[in-house]
Amino acid sequence: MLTAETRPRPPWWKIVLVGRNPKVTAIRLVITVSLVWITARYVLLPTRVTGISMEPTYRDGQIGFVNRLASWMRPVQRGDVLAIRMAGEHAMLLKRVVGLPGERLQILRGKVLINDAPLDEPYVINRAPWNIPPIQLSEDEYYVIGDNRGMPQSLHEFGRASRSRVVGRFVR
Amino acid sequence: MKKITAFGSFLGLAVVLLWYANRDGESARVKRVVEEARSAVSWDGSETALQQIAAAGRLAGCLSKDVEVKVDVLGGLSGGLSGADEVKGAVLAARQHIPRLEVQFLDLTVSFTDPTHAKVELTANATTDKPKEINPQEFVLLLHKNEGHWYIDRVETIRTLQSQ
Repeated sequence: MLTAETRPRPPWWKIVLVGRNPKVTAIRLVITVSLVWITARYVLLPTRVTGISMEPTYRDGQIGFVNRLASWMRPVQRGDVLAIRMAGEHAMLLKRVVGLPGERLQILRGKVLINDAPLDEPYVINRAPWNIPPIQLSEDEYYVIGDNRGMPQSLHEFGRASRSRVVGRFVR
Repeated sequence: MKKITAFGSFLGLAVVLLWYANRDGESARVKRVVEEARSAVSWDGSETALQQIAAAGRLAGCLSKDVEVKVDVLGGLSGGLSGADEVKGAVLAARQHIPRLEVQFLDLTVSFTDPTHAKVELTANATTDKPKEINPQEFVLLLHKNEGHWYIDRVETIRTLQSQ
């Protein structure tokens, strides 16, 4: 009978490949793969930014994550960058929250007014003269816009997003 | 009595399973029509004139005669097409201006309002050989079943965000 002392030591390459105890290594591998899969699917969704609507904050091709649990940890706040689902989650819009539920919002020559007060937006570099007449957000809506306000208003997708479309907060 | 109860339960289960399998089958049939339409509006520029006409014919085969297409997308592009022939003509014309177009349908879901009417929601993503980006766009398609075949009655863009 071989004891721990008398059992021959496996070759180094085998230890590198499958560890000293292959069973334990296999269990560790299954747990690690499961954790990564669960995290990527239900917690932090890996996402690639496409397009220029969030420039200069996020550039085309950048990789980040959508934190699905973020809104559970704290409510959505003004300035948060949210991922908004379209028909599903394979294509999402990445936009910044400027208006919160129940607020009155207007855009006047590129400046966002919340309840008639101008909003300080340090993330906006260029400002084209966009105009949106005053609107009242419902208790279920956010108003979201990309950071690239230098582009023409007609080419920038922005507006009201219902709470049910929010997938999570974008993090880098 | 026990036998009757067991038989009734078995029959009930069989009916539910049959209904479910048939419903799933209908969903697959609807998806096949939508996929056929998608492939007919994707091209790589290598098709001959005959192949282009055949593809347009395949598209027309997925549409009802009185199909309505309503488009309202970013950049002020809005308008509509009425009838399968007009849609077919528009696709053939688009082929002359866009050398390559690849359309992908993402997150496609099918729901049924009744056994002969279906609603499909999806996000369409298109790429061309031009570097200019085309934004993904949400669509709703309404279909109806006629003599065992599903036909697209209406195609409409959906604005994910409402600016006003």
